[in-house]
Amino acid sequence: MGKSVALGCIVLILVGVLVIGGMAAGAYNKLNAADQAVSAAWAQVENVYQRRADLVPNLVETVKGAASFEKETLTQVIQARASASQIKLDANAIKDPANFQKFQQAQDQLGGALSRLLVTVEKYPELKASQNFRDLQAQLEGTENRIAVERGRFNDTTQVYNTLRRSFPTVIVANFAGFKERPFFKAAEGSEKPPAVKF
Amino acid sequence: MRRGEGKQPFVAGQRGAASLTFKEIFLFLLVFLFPVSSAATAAFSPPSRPAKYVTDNAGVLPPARASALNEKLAAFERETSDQVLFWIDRRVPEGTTLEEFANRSFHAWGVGQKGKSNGVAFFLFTEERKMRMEVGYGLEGAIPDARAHRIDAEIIGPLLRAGDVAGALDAGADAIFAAARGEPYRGTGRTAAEQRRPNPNPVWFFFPIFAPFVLVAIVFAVAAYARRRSPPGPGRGNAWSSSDSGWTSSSSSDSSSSSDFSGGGGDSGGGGSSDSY
Repeated sequence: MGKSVALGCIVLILVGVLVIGGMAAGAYNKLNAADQAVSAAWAQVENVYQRRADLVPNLVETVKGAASFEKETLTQVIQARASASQIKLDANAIKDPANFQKFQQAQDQLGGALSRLLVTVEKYPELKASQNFRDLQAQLEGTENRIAVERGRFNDTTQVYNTLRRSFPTVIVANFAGFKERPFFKAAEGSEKPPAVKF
Repeated sequence: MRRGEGKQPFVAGQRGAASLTFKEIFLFLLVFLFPVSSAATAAFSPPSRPAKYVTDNAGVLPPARASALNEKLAAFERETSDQVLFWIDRRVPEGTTLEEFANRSFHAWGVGQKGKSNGVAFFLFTEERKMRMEVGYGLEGAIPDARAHRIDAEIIGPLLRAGDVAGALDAGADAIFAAARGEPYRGTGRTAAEQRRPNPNPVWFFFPIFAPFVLVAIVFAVAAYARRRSPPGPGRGNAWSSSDSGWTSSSSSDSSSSSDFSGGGGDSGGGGSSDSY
């Protein structure tokens, strides 16, 4: 009698371990998938920022051609681009909030310098009218819009991950396996909308 | 003495841990029993997927021109698989921007084919005199932002200013076609909506089941035929004349006069151009 009870207990414990282990494995896989989705979204974010950085030399070259163009505005753009390009973060490095904040600051600075440049150009009608500049402006606006889109999608996937990480049974697995809360983009003034320079 | 000191915090710590776990369990149960629906972020939701390639909510297109343009866009999808959409309304909905509206709608409708994202959606808001050409990922190479801007500003814009909306969209479609052909996508001869439509002839659906029986029947028939005329005459072998006209190709020109749009599952990353006129 006592033997069979002990046996029953062992079986019960075994089943319990299996069930809990299965749940833990499922939670781990889900977390991993959500984590990968954030990394994929980050790759897109990097792409569009790189796209903007690639546009800058061309823009600077075109604007320089206009006589007596404000040197200071141009220098600011060039410097902001240089410091933004220095901060390259792979999918792992952005898990650190401090890194992430640095990246965002540098990119927002470049965005700000670029929109100041576009405002300054308003004073140069012949530059504004040139086909070359108009094409560049369309590309720049498109890129700013892409940045807004990919940042938004990155934030969405990060939110999905963070919510999953914080939800009940998963949070235990997350703490065990070292899945941390991930940082996301904060709205900086002017960075939410593409520069509204129209003509 | 030392032991006592060591014991004291240990016990306290244990008690603290116990009370904490109780609280945690309670919280866990709360969370577990009442899962909070999270994503309450999306302030605006895009309109549902349009049924046609051309949607005119502002009532500025003559119906005949709208359906002609619709057919033209469907034909372009059959040929290239590229999906080009036109959406006209009076104003951008409250609480969103032109760019956000365009991108969210494009994403929700799945303009362009899956895996190719070869779609373009053109949005026109007549009262605000604004337009946006949203270009899918797969056509960003063929229609870069500068080209999208030129189509907006140099082809569509002037006609819109002249009050010819139908002409503007028609010319815009031609310009988009010309640009999109820079990417060598091939169509299947059918639109996504036509591919999704259930097969018109249900007999073909059961064909795999019938096929073995049909094959056996044919073999027997041929054998019987061959036995009956054992001395085969010269030049006689036309037993396979396709006399049975059971399955005529009952397709192509469908009775429905205008082609439907169905999203292929494409996406856009915000490429294109916004312009006013």
